[in-house]
Order: sequence, then structure tokens, then C-alpha cells
Amino acid sequence: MTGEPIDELDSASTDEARDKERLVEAIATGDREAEHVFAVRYLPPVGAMLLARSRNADLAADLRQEVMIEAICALRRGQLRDPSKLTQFVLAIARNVLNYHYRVSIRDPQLLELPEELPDLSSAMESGEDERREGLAMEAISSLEATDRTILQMTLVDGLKPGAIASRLKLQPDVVRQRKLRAIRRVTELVCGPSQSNTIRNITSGKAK
Amino acid sequence: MSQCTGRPADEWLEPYLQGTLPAREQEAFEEHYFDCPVCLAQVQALQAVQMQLARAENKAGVASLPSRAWSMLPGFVWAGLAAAGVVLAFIAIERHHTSASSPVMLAELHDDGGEVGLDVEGHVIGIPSEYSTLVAQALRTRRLPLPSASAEKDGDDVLRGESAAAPAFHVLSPLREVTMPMPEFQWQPLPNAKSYRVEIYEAGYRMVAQSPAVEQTSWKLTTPLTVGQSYIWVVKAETAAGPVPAPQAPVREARFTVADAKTLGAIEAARRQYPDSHLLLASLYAQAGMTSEAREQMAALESQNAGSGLVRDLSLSLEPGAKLPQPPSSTKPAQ
Repeated sequence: MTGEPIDELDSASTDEARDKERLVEAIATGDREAEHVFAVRYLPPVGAMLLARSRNADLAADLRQEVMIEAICALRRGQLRDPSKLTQFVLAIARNVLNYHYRVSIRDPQLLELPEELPDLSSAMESGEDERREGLAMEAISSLEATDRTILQMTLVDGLKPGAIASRLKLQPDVVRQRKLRAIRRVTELVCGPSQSNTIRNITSGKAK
Repeated sequence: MSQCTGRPADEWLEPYLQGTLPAREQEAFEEHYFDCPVCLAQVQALQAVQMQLARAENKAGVASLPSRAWSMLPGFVWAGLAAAGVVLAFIAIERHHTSASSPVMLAELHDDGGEVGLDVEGHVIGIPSEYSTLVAQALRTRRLPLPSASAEKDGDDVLRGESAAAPAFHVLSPLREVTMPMPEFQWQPLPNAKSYRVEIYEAGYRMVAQSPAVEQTSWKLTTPLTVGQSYIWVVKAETAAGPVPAPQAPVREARFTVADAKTLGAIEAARRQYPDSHLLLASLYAQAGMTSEAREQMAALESQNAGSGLVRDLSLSLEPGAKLPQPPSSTKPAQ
């Protein structure tokens, strides 16, 4: 594989850039519907990022609301000058909120400047998507062979490399690598659901791995 | 819509969720999946699997689901949970068998609710791979990796040619060690002292900070000192007969150095990512010469490993002059 994975991407198309610009302008003018669109658009990746960095589902769920409120309040105040940088702007707020959480053991709610009219995130948060995904994850795990399940656990939870897993399971490292890739591909397809799994199946079938 | 082929997730997702992706790639991947539904779906899917597997490992299984989640579970999830109950039990049994057939462990201890160990082949278990060499050394030698500079601490506390009589009033820490920018100063009490005052000096004996009069025998600095800078500190006890300083000749000056920015950044990154991994943090602090912080981590580790000779030796290795058993002569290096 040559080059970095991101190199081959054009992650923000012109249409996306225009959408972001409209969204940022609408929120700055007080459009509550735009705030809802923003929350629906950014809550999932913010939640994923916070969970990846904290490994604490409850903390991630709490902090993602804080991130969205801070982001919307900043956008209302017109603090983002370049709308094409909306994603980086949200990411920076998310990192700041998480870092701040780790810096102070006792959090002072007064430090978060809340406006009188808080953004309504309820409809964006209560989709039940997380719970649906949890159920699918359990089903996906149960569909794996026992050895694959163990390899996945040692990889994702214990943070072990294939060499160490191979040593513990008395397998060849290459066998562990193959089984790990197969298991990750399988659970990802099962959890992503029918619409995503087709896309991903098409993608993975064309890979050299 | 993104034209992504899913390659970023294929390449980076696993190390990203393990927390081993370098910072630059981590940020690039996050920036990407924030705008890429294909990669975001893969992140969320594998995260969900990771969380379920982690719950299984903690042996709390289904019962550990957050209480607020129960009332929101749709019917098909209940079916999934029932199936998962069987799966989780199976995983627990299987892991038991796996451990029974594992290689012989040279060293093992409990940390962060899990097992940390070193097997006969030199593999470190339960520690992120980027720190495995550091921790392997500690487990193999039963000593925390102190920097060579801290050997100064092994020298005499009393200046040459002077009496070695132990002073009644002396400082405890920091004492010829590396500290955080706002260290806590500790000293022995002096009978009849009304209060104490700490003074901190930089090179050239220019005072840079002074405490108010305190009655207790410790004081924590509230404004940060310059990183990478060395300092001298004294504590003065106020008595009816006048101020009594410590240390005073023939005892050496109490010197300390604030850790440099790179060290502080590396430790903060580890502390943020693995806040409860006491052996890892103790090793990092010790390597940086931050022995007070390393002792705190070892105290936490001792509470989880009552009676462990390995943990006792690791703790003792922080104490100057402690008699430790000779480390094993050779084992295979950790991967």
C-alpha cells in the first residue's frame, strides 16, 4: 500500500462545503431548524471520537452534549469565520471539552457559559441508534467462531498484537492476522446494517488484503 | 457525499480504537470520519463490538449495561441480549481455558482491574504495545527504570568532612528529584514550631516563590515553576527562639528540577489515556526521575496486590539504598 489513506480522498466536496456554509450562516442568524440539522449531523462523529479517546461510554454520552452546546453557542455568536472549517471547528471543541474534563477533577458548571436559550438536542439524541447498535454488536459477536472471538477480544480490549495473541493461543502470527481481519470485517458488516454493509462489502471485496 | 473507499478505516481503525495510533494520524482520521459516513459507520460498529467485548471481559456482562439503557431497549435487542448472555458466559469459560494453556509467566500482577505480566518468551501482557519495552524491563529486573541522573540521590545526604548526625528537623520531598511544575513540599515536624514557611530559589539563590506561614508539614505550590529549571528549597520553622531552617549544614541543599515540557507531555498523554494503569504510570514517572509521583502510583498498585513480592521490590527500587534481590540474569527481550 502506498501513501497515506487520507491522500486518496477528497473528503469535503464542493456541495458539502456549500452545505456547511449555509448551515453556519443559518445558525448565526438564529435558525433553530439549522441547529437541529447541525446536531443530527455532528452528534454521531463527536460521540465516536469521545468514546475512542475516553473508552468510557457514559462519559462520552455526557460530554457529547456539552460539545454540541458549546459548538452551537459559538456558531450563534458567529465565532467560525471560515465555514469550510466547520468539521475542524467541532473537532477542536470536542478535544478541548475532553481535555478540560481530564484536567479538572471537580468540574465547575459555571465555567461553561450557557445562553438563556439552550439548543434543543433532545430529538437529535433520542434515536435509540446506540442501543440498536449494541444489540447488533452482541449478535455479531455471537456469530463468530470461538477462536475469532478470542482474537478480537485480545485485540480490541487487551490491546495485544498478533504475535502476542499467537503465543497465547498457540497459533501462527499469520493465522492470527488473517482471522482477526476476517472477524473485524464480519462484525463490521453485521453491525453496520443492510444499507452500509452492501457498501462495505463492495469496498472490502475489492481490497488486496 | 464522500467518495471514500473505506481505506482510512481499514488502515487506521484498529490502532485508533486500541489507542495506539500516533497523534498526527489520529487527528487526520478523526477529521476524515467526521465527514465520511462510510468510515464513521465502521468506527461506530467496531466501537460497539469493543464495548460489548470489554463488558464480557469485566465479567459483569449484561448486568453492567447502564441503567438508563434498560427502559429504552426495543424488543429485538432483548433477544440479542439473551443470546449475548450465552455468548458472554462462553467467552468467560473460554478465556479461563485460554489462560490455563498460556505460556508460563515470569511475573504477574493485578493492575487497572486486569492482569499485567511478562511471560517466559518476553511478551508483556496487558500493557499497550508502545510501552511494552519499558514495562518489560521493570518486570524482568523487578526495578523501576530510574534515570542515571537520579543516582545523585544515592549519594550521601551529608557533605564530606562533616558530622553525619541525623538532624531533628529535615525536609522530606522533593529531594534531588524531578517534579511537576507545582510540586508539593513536605518536611518533618519540628517540636515547638508555631508555623513553617517554604522558600524556593533558582540558580544564583534568587527567591522565586515563598509560601505563607502554614501550620501543617506540607505545602503545595499554586503557581507553576519554569519547566526544565532546577531549584533549591528550604523550609523555615518559626519558633520562640527564632526561625530554624532545614536543610542546614552539614546536610546538602534540597534541590529539585521541574520536568521538561516533552516529558510532561508524554506523561500527560499516558495519564490521560491509561489513568488507572499504575504500573505503566509508575514506570514513566520513575524513568523521568519523578520518584514522588512514582511512589504514589506504586502505593495504588500495592493496594491491589497485597503480599506481592514483585510489587514490593518494584516499590523498594525507588528508595535509595534499599537492598533488592539480584535480577534474573537473562530472559528473552520483550517484543
